[in-house]
Amino acid sequence: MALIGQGALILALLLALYAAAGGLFAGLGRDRRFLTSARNALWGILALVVIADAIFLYAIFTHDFSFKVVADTTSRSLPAGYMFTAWWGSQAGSLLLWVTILAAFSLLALRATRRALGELQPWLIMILALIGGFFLLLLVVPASPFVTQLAPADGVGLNPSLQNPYMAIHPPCLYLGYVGLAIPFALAMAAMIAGRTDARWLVASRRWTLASWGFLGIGMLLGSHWAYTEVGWGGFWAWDPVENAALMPWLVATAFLHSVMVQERKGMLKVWNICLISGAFALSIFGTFLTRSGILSSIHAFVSTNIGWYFVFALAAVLGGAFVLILWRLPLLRADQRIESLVSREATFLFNNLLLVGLAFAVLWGVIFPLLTEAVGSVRETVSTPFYEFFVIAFGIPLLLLMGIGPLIAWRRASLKQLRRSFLWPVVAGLVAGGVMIGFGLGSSWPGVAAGSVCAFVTVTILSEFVRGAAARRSIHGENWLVALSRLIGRNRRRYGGYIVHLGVILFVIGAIGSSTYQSHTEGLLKPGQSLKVGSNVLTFVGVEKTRGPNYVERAAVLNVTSDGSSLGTLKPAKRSYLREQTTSNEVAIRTTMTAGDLFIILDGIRGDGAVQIKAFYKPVVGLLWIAGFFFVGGVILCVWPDQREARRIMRRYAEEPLPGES
Amino acid sequence: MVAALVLALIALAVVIGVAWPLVRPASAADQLDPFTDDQRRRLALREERDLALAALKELEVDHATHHIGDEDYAELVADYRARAAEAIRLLDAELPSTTG
Repeated sequence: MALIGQGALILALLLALYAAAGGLFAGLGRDRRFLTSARNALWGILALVVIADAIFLYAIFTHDFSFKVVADTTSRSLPAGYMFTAWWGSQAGSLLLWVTILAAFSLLALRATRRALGELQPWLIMILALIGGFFLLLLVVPASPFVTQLAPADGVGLNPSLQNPYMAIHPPCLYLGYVGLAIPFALAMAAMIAGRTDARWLVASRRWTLASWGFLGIGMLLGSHWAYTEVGWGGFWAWDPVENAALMPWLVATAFLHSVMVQERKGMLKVWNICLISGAFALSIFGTFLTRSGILSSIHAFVSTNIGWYFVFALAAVLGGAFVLILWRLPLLRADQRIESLVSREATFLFNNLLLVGLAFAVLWGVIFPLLTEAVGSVRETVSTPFYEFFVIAFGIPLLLLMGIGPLIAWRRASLKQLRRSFLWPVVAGLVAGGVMIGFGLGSSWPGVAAGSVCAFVTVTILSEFVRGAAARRSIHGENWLVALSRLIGRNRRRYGGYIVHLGVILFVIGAIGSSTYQSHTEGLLKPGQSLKVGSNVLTFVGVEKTRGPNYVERAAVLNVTSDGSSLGTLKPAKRSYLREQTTSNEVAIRTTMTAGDLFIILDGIRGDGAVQIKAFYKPVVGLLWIAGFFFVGGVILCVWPDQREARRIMRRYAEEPLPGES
Repeated sequence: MVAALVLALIALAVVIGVAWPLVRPASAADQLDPFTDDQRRRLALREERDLALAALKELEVDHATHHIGDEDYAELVADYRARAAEAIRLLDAELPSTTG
């Protein structure tokens, strides 16, 4: 079986090389036969990778420990539900998933652009085949999932922290995001090679970028929830390099999604947009490199496992290739117009872009600085949370502000009179919110008050956009409020979907600030019958309860919770000892109330005499973090949903010109 | 042995699938049309025309929702109309390859 799997991957690699060459011949020689042949090669790659997937999964589910990866990531006692997650629990498995998604996405992208961007197809195939070929090379040489050994009686097992339902969906979401960014990058490069620098590639890539950005965002949010409920340190985001690996491309893709609107409407920022999409894809490769090269554990691990050098080469090829193509096509990428005023919507988009890219660079520096210090000296200097928090506040608050300012300013320029009229109520709302926060004793943190004020400002701005738009429709078309609002959203999905995402961001910011800046925290050693107070809640320790799970033994501290004399039930923070994996994990206990906040309890230790060390937090409005996710998903779906009117408009434009392509 | 045979069959299927378009006789339809400079220029004019028309629509919405005052609105509408008209004029003056 392993031989067939490895053979399928080698054949897929050869096909990828052939598809790249076929795309090149088709593009240079204008020969459709090579185009068809190269496209068939991509279908062949998908079929071969699916065969490899099937063999790999069969080995996992049949406990075939002669496969080294299977023995390293699973065990006989691993619950069946987590057998599937073992697919991406290893380096080789996750790279296999990368290639599978890429093979499927490549064919989807080719299908979607076949008519409107026909002459891009040879180059699109070439770029996508080269990207796929790179990951197939990794799977064939340094990270094969089909390395065999003398089968041990049982496997090592899966890391316990990965044995969580969120881990079943969080990594695939991130991979869909990482891999998805390959498509807009390939479209941009193909457009430049073909000299099709008009807006068509941008329209085609926008939806891919949005979907990838959405998956990255959902993946990060799920990862945050996993960290909050499973890792058990009391927070949801630790500025861990693995978390940052997903955040960086997400930030740059966010910038792209905003600046793309400027290019579509004004014909400006063409070079900038290509830089952004190349940067986002390079950062997605960098993210995979960070998590898969071993560099995070030690720079020496990176040197000893040569997979890191493959990634360094790929990054250089992506950035170098994009740079050369931009230089080549610079005459075609000149802006059609210039920014007329700094008080215009395009200017706010530009500021928003600079802040987002600046923040991405700050995070990137935070990630690579420890690696550089270790490479240059012998000690790794770490970058701690305050470094990141400084930049999040310095760049984040102006970004929030721009989220409110942008929609109120017209394209091209705005007059002082209009600005006064538009900003009056949002500014009043912001000032009132700041005053109320200080009045309620929340003035201890100025970033908290500033962010709260800005959130109120932005919320009123966004809501007023819905009201103004619906009111305009009412006066023009005589519709009732409900019809006017639904048609307003339905006919401007991108705009209002974006506003819904912005509302999600506001909820997220309020949840993040409330749960971190204004949390209460206490800890103590409790013997049976003793109590601990956190916020208005009293925790009384009853005793230790021992239970046995499918592959672990759990010891939980039973705590009765009361507030103002009335019982709120029992909470059981626990520690799990995984027998086969020989590790323990924290199982935090959380009491969630949507109106108030979370009571979050960690069992830090159990002493021999039966006393327990308890850490307790009260986290106000933390639930908003997760509610924000629904707004985010809803907004993204609204934006991604096909807009038939826009499609017709674009097709009409290109139908006027009989461009080369498939008939 | 079985594995090698299976692999060989898979490889054969792949080679047939990939080589098939190349072994059949070539025809005139196999030539991909080039993207010419004329087409690029006309496409740019169509984009310019569509951008101006879209901007006019957007201006209307911005004006109706009071994001832009009457004076600015009138001035910008005149500017975008002139741009759209110029693009259409240039397109009309192009050679008969324009079908729209």
